[in-house]
This record gives sequence, structure tokens and C-alpha cells, in this order.
Amino acid sequence: MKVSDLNPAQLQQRLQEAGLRIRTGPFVTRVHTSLAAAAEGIGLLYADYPLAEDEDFADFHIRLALPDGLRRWLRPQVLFLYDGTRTFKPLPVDQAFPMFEWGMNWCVSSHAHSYLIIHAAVLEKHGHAVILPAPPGSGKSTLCAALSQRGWRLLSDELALIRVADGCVIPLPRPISLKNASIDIMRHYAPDAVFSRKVSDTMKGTVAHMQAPADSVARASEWARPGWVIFPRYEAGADTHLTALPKAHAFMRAADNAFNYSLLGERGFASLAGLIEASSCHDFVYSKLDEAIDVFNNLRPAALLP
Amino acid sequence: MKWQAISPQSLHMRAWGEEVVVYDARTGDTHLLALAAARILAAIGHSPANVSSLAQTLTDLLPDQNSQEQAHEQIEAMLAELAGISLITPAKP
Repeated sequence: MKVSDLNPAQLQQRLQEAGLRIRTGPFVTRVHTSLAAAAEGIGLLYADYPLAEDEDFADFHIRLALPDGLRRWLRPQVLFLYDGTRTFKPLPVDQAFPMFEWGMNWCVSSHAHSYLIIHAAVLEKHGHAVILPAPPGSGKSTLCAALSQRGWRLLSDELALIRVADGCVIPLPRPISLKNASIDIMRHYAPDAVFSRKVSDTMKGTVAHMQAPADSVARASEWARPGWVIFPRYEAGADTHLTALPKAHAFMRAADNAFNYSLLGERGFASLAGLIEASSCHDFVYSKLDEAIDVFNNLRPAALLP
Repeated sequence: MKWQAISPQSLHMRAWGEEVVVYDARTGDTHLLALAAARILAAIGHSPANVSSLAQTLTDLLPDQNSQEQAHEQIEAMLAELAGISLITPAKP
């Protein structure tokens, strides 16, 4: 059963009563909320996601709720509760869906330590993953969104999951987070894609989320091998440029972008070393999406090179 | 004066080309070293050594690139770097 099998009334009822158990990649999240903005976003952007059964184990239990007291009525706010505990500062209630997305990222990056988790977009083609680690503002999500619309399977927009046990790259396809000018760029680039409504004045500026392609969601159990680690950077007016990056430097920069490298200790070091060893590593500067796509379409996995 | 590794059993290394990434499980720190510095670190980890013997080790590693005088200078720079990131310390007499 998928989220889209529920009509809006059933979805709202499930969210308010038993909780909606959404399966995203290897995780099940049980979501409770009575907030219309959150329900609307979930119904729109998670339509293709499978629902877990009521008796299935849920990895994360979250609730989006209004606070008690005046804040329920006066400039109302939304709380994100994890296992019943308030986790973040409250946000304006119109930010309920972005908060749900940010909170979901936090759930994974703070708890899923059987994976080395890198702040990175991840896409796949022919069984090999390209991992795009980058800080905010680098153009990572825009590039990821464009690639996901041009033949690359979306594994994740935010969190690269490297399974510590075997080094496989595990999919966690969820909506792609776009900010500011990137929102209209992607609306133009992918006119058939589904977007959430824009939410202004968030801590990241104006944000909107783009639905993950249905095929990527359907194939969320298909892991990939490491293929490339590429550090993207959008630079207005720059020529498209892919340059080889020494692996030791790629290691240090990927470690800087990892959430739990230090926490995993020796296992984190071994996992990251294995990822870098198996990958071609590059810096990538771009300003034009079509040229960027061409470069990615010409990548060949290191394992296949003569 | 001899130098010794602070905790050689805590060090994990991965070399790519002329560079090595070193993870120190004692501190949780990760360092990027030149291959020659990593080899000197490994030599010190094997047994404490002084500048002269390490300069000889470096000359053996890079016979085409080092006069004995240059090797001394390079070793002193490497030792300062390795001590600065708490991988080595002067050995107690």
C-alpha cells in the first residue's frame, strides 16, 4: 500500500490517530500530526512511498504539533517532537513541511550509525553511485535535481549512506530541497515535476521541495557500488570544469562533510577509505546545467576504465 | 635526543600516491601527510630514533633527492610537524 492509496481524508485521519508509517529507503518513520500544511506536503511529495504495516518496527517516531498556550493562536508555531521530546526550536507554522523534511534528515544523521553518513547528494547509473558532498550554497541540490530528471536515479539529495558492513551505497530517495533562485530554475528545467509550495523567510531563505522521481522511490531497495566522489561548486558564468582530485585530499574533504565519521572511529576511517579507494575523485565547477549533465553522462566508472 | 611515537598501535594509515591519510584512534584526529613523513612516522613507531638515524632512513628512501644536510633539515621539519599534531614526542632518556 502506498500513501497515494489513501484519499486526503484517510491520510489526515491516519496522521492524527494511528500515525502514518512511511517507508523511506531502509527506514520506517511513524508520523503524527494534525497540521494541514504538513499533511498537504506529505500527501503531495510522498504519494509514491510505501506504507509499512502497523505491526512493523518503526525506526523513528515523530510528531509535528502546535505548542500549548498563546503560541497556538498568536503567530502560531510548529514543534518537532522525536520520541515525544522537543528536538528543535519551534518554527512558524507555515514551515511545518520543511521542518518535517529537516527533522527527517536529523533522525537519520543522528541515529543511523550502521552507515557512514555524508552530507551529499547521491545518484546512480549502471549500478555505480556518484556522491556529491558539498556544504550548503554549492549548487549540490540543483545539480542533483537536474541529474534526477535526465536519466540518473536519485539515491538521496542530502544524505549519502555508506553501509559500514560492506561499503555499499544505500538509497534514501526523498524530496529534493531547493532554495531561492534554484526553485524557479528547476520549475523551468523540469516542468512536469511536482513541487511543494514555496515557503518564505525560513532559516535557509525561500524553500520548496521537489518530488523524488517515482522510479527512484520504487527502486529504493537497490543499492549501488561506489563510482565517483565529486565535489560540485556552482559559479555564475564559469566554464564547466571537471578536474581530478588526489584521493587523500578527497578523503579529508569527504570526512569534513560526514555527520558521524568521528563517532564511528576506526570503522568510519575504514568505511571512508574504502569509499575513496573505490571511487574516481574530482572537483567540479559548473554554471550551465545542460553542460553539467553532459559531463556526468560521459563519466565512466574506474572499474571499467582500461 | 630520540623521538618516539605517542601511540603507534592507535594509528591507521591509507596511502594514495605520494600522500597518506593517518587516523589516530587515541584522539579521533585524522591527518594528511606526505608519504615520506608517514614513513618516518612508521619508523619512529617501530622504535625510537634520533635525527641522524632518521636522516639516514630518509636518504635510503629518497636516494636521488637528498644530501645528508638536506635530509637533516627535512627530518627536523617533519619531526616538528609530527610533534605539532601530537603523533610523536621526545623519548624519555
